[in-house]
Amino acid sequence: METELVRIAGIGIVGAVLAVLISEKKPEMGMLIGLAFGALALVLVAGKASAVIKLINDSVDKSGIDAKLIVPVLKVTGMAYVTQFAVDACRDAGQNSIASKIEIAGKIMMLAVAAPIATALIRMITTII
Amino acid sequence: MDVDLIFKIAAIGILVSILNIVLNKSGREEQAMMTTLAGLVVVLMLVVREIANLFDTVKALFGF
Repeated sequence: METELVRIAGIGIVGAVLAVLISEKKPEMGMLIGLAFGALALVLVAGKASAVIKLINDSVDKSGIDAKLIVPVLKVTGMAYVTQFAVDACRDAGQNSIASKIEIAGKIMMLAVAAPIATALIRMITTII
Repeated sequence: MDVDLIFKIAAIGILVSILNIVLNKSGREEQAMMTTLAGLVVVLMLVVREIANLFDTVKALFGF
């Protein structure tokens, strides 16, 4: 696990230097290098995250909570993952307005996914009281 | 973690900027613009493929 972290850090620094070198003449190429590195690193990290997700699913199954509740949680996490990637890419390119629009859209989508859990929670509380 | 993608894009970027300078100096501005566009399209194809791969991984992982 640690060796991958060292590799990502090293490649990140090299990528940053290359991006600065190239964006002096061609700013769009520099931004594309940053985007390419971002995609590569996140694909690697996402691979590692799958182990964590299996762990969560197993512990949820054992603990008896119905698996239906855990699905939106994972979905919202994935959406946050994607939204953050897009927002950083747009900020890298200097387009702050586009970045904030993506952020707003991401938040609304996450809210839409998480709403059923909130209603389920409220229903549970009212039945208890 | 294929490092060569980043180096490939960097190489294309350097190549395009050098070609650009050479073509501009020799008076052919249109061809300089053409090479810039060609380089940009190639790099964009590479990066878009990588991002599509990322989004597929996230979709498969988090159960979209």
